[in-house]
Amino acid sequence: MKKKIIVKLDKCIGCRSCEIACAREHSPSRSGERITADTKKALSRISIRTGLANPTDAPEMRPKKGKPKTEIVTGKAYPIRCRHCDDPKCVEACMSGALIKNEEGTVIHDPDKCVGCWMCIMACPYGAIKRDLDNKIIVKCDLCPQRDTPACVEACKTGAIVCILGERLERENESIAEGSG
Amino acid sequence: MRASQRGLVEMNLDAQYKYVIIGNSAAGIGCVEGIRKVDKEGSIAIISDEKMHTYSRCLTSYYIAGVVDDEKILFRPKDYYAKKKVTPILGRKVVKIFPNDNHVVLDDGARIGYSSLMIATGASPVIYDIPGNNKQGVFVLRTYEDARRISEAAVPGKRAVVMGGGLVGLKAADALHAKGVEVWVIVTSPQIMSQTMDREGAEILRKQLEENGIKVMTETNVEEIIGNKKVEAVRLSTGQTLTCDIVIFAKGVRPNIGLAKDAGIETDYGILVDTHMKTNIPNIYAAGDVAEAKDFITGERYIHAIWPNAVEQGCIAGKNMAGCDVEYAGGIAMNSVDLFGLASIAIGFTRPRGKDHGYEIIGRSIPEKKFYRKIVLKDGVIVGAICIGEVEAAGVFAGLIKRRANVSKIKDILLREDFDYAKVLGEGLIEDTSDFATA
Ligand SMILES: Cc1cc2nc3c(=O)[nH]c(=O)nc-3n(C[C@H](O)[C@H](O)[C@H](O)COP(=O)(O)OP(=O)(O)OC[C@H]3O[C@@H](n4cnc5c(N)ncnc54)[C@H](O)[C@@H]3O)c2cc1C
Ligand code: SF4
Ligand code: SF4
Repeated sequence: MKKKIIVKLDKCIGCRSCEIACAREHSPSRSGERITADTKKALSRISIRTGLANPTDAPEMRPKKGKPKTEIVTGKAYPIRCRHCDDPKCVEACMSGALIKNEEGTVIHDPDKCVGCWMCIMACPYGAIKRDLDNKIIVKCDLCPQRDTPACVEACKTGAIVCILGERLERENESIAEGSG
Repeated sequence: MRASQRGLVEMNLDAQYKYVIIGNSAAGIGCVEGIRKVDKEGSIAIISDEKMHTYSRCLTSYYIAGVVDDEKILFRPKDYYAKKKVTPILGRKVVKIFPNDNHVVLDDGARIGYSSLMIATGASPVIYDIPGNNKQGVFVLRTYEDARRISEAAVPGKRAVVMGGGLVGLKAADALHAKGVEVWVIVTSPQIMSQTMDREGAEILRKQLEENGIKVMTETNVEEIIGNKKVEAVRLSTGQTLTCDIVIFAKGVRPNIGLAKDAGIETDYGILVDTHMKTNIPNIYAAGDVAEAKDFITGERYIHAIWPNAVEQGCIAGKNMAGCDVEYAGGIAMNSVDLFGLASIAIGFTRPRGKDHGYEIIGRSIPEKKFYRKIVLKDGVIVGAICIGEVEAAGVFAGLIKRRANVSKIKDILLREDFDYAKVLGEGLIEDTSDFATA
């Protein structure tokens, strides 16, 4: 089914429930109990990352001199995830054909075809692709094809990540298309 | 279009198509996809002098190493042509283009008519004029056939000299090494990856190669290939001779412009195209390694011979061929190489020299982690970036380059290991409303 995830930036409180749900959904056992045992293989496709509280808090970077400060100054949390772009730069860059945009509009990844060249990482302007270093391939959001509501959306208790499904999405796309001529 | 098609019928052609594409690789397939986004039915023929289905030449080194096979080297599925309603004409070379009456002639004499034509003939490796360059054991790496031949020669215990320390040379060296071949990389410049990487980055990559058993010699040339019929050794500019069985020329490529030139299409180093990927002849387009198209940073015409550019240019040309009006923003050099698990990505203008004024360079290196990052700025806008070790943010830099976003106020943040798109959002650096909504 066609679906689309929308993020309401203001609503994310950085609880990271979505990350855990995503990792579990994509873990071999797909079970909550074994998630810890699986974690090596269970990488989340969505990342909660933070902006800086204040840009001036950024540690001074002194290249080549002394030890750089690495303390993290936390600020507002933002979910970073794949947008299944209309003109996906990652697909354009993928030289093995592992990444394709399917008929439903989802940008999907075939781990068997991936050679770990990181061309897609170089191309995605949102940094939405992660490396799975154990297997030397990438992982990315697949919009949970096996379920109607993606796992991250189901897990989000604040309504920061919402999903639009099927017909409603068609209608929305039509109105967008009409709007832009 | 009707009129020209009527004209073609009268000429008694063997076949005619709305779109004819010469080249079955990145730019050619990008073109198919561009056309099909706009025109689901118009007839398309794709012609290639190679017999293979859509194989990826970037995977040829992986093929040598045995990481991909005849199936996985394809970058589109087997039923691709049928699904996209494309007629493949494979194993046939185009020998002439007749732009005045809209047809091409193949090596078997067939005449194929078109309403619009795409030239995506790519480039060919250069074999330099040195004594012995035709001996058995001398190879180039560009095609599937090249890869097959090298793969046969790459038997454990053999020794190889790779001439050239660019992407192709290093990928070839890596593949040969994986096959148990002892490898020397001989580079004319003072560093490897001299087209894209800066000195410091190149030094890290060189160390990585050497630590893993690949020998690198910079500021050295191969002056002669010695041997009876077969390669036995090479003589270097240092006077030294290196015993070897395999020599690979990986010192650059030249665009395949012959066909276009003969047809009176404007060429310089490559085929000259405008921002719609159109040549000086209105219904003939060119894209990919053969096309000299706009450079994003300088605005001048240049060839960035890389896969993503070829796909994007092909796609834009295809959309324009199908009647859209899509402009090319320009190409940016970018490269990604993973050497023995060390990832490195270089994007844009990474090496301003002394004579280039007005650039600001910031950088940071953590040697024990093999982390290196460098950002080149001009008037507060990123024009180049290098990421080694930690590469996840590379695409974010590419995005900022393309948006010409002013990053002055977060310059230091760019060098943090944890730099990511959240920092861009957090600092309100760019307006990003796509897929976002406020509560
Ligand atoms: C070993 C290797 C590794 C590489 N690795 C990378 C990488 O990691 N990242 C990256 O970005 N780039 C890489 N590249 C570069 C990349 O492969 C090219 O930029 C890309 O293939 C260009 O695509 P193209 O369609 O313009 O041309 P090409 O791929 O050269 O294709 C040209 C097509 O035209 C056909 N053709 C030519 N002349 C005729 C004719 N007269 N009649 C009929 N058909 C004809 C050919 O058969 C072929 O199908 C690599 C290249 C090589 C060789
Ligand atoms: S991975 Fe990045 S470029 Fe690819 S579709 Fe997702 S957001 Fe777009
Ligand atoms: S890392 Fe995998 S998915 Fe990404 S471009 Fe390379 S082959 Fe494609």
